Amino acid sequence: MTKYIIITPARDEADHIEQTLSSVPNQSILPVQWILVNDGSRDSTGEIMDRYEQQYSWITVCHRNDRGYRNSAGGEVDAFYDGFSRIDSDDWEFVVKLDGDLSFAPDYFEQCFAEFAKDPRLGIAGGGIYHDLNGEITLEKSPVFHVRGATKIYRRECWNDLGGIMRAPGWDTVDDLKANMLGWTTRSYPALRVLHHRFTGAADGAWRNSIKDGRANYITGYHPLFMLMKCAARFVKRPRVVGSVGLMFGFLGCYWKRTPRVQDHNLISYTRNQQLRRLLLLDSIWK
Amino acid sequence: MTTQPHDLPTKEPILRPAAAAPRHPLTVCMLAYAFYESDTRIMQYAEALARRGDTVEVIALRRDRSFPEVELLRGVKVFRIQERTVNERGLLTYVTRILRFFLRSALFLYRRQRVRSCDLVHVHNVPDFLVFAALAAKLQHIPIVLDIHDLLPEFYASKFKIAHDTALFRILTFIERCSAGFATHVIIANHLWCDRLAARSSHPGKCSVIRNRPDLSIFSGEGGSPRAAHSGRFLFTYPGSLNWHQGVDVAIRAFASIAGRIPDADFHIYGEGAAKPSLISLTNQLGMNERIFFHDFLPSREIARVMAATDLAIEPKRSMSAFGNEALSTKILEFMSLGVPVIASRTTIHAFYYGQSIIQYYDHDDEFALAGEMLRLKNDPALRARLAENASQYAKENTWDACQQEYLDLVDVLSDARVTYA
Repeated sequence: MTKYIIITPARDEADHIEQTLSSVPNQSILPVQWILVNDGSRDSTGEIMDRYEQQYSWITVCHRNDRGYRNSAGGEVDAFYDGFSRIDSDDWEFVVKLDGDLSFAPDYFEQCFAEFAKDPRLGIAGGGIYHDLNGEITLEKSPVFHVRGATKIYRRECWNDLGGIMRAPGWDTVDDLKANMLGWTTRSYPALRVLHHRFTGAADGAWRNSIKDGRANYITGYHPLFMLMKCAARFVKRPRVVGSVGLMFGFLGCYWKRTPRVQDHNLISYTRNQQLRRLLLLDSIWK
Repeated sequence: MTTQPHDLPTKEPILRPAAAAPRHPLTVCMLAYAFYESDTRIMQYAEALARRGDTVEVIALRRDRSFPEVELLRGVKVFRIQERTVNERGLLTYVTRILRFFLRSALFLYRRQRVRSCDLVHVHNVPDFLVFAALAAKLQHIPIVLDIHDLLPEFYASKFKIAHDTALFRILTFIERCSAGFATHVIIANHLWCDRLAARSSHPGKCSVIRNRPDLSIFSGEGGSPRAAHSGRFLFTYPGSLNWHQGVDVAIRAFASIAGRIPDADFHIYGEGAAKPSLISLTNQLGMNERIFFHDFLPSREIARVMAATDLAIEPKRSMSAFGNEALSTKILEFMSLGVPVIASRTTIHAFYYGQSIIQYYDHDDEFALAGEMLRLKNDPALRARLAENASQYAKENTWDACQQEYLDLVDVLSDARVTYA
């Protein structure tokens, strides 16, 4: 039986966390430990977590103090690491970062681990993120190599090679890029459906979220030309202007503020090389 | 009009005749843009009146030519004046067919009135404006009862994706108000809707609630369940209309996500509706066409046999749909009467009437939450038995047989009132 640990950082997720909390106990393969990190919630998220901890011996809850604001610059990763430090046993093969506003099929993890078994070089994987838009289930599109931060499964060896994840916006792209640079493959599987009950970035609003994405792309080391094309392509998706302008504003703002990029020149070179290959229609991880 | 939660007695305030008042047999005419033989609510009213000696005539739709135009069914004379195939996808087709039925039924009632007057006309929505087909009767001061099975504005808004803040929705509300004003009395199918309709289009004194209730002569779990007789497969069943707000797509996806873990189970869907083609397509897309089966409409007595053979009933009505969230499912009570456990979406109206001890709920229209409950109940016969037992007890107290007197009293009061007006 595959041994895995789940870590769920959650802040003010009382409306949806029960959907995640009821999805995991239904899994055909249960985790060795599930660490729920209540990241200073002001709603009843913490109490709900405590209720489930009493019900299942393999659930651990940790409560963090309310920092007083939503820290989109890395608060989630801090909370994740707080949970990571509470792993009881060293006997695990996979570590999962799972958001608290998701639900998925009872064989979700079993199917994911089957993909890991098929490809020994698969380092990071996860399902496709879907939204229920008035009853229409739609896939949130992203490049195949990119595994969404809401549901990331790391093979232990890959996790060790990565040296963990970055405490800054864009962490969930940087880890995919770095894993690929190190010879691992990363992949999201749209056939393994994960329902996201709150839009990605919904807590921040469309404008702030676009700016955040632009900043994350800058920190990751995106090529300016690729970024320009990305902003142009963003026009086909609503909100067109806010989404596109916000992305570029966030990206260029970082040049102005001299925001530090990821401290890995090889990774930036690799990323830009892959992006230019994509623009030239050559083989690239951006398919 | 006050609302009552599910754990309090649910006796509806309703008009009652003077005690022991002598009564003469009445002639009641019913009008419904529906198939009489498959509409339990209309059949219950009509047969209850016929059983006590009243003459009942129903003007309804004809499913196809295999059904006679005029037929006597358990003492009720049914006139099927127009054929209908339930395949309307656009508003225009839908409205055209209804308008045709409206004109035909108005003419039919007018001619009927000239030959022999009736004591009361009972008009069933949808649509509300069908009540105006009884104009000839109204002019003769015959009481008209408008029976709101579904709130018209919310129902059409859901069916044709009309936003609640549009002019079209306001027009539908205006039609509702005019229809309720035209009727002598309005019956509404649940308390939440009664409160809304009374506030929006009528007044509490003119409105009564008569919930859909199972007819024990059709839906009875007594005499042994036929479940043991089926092929040994575990059967999930959904019987009913197939529209978007019914959420059957959620149930299909839920079943597909656990099909691998329950190889001995199948999901059977009975019914018709605009969403049927897309549901069949979804089933094929998910590769489930050998595990999920679609069946045509079945008349009440046949569907009752199918329901009785079910191991676990699914009622996936969409809580995110303003209409689905408040439309009370009759099927739930029917399954309860048959001793079949039910998994249902926690809509506002379900939660209002049914406690957690009698239904296994899931929230947020979440297919995976539903899948989890399907799996849990499939694997836990004791839990299924407990739910079914609690539900049976609830159903016994809420059958049509136990509550039909409220309707008969209402008819008597209204038809006596006619004498006063004349």
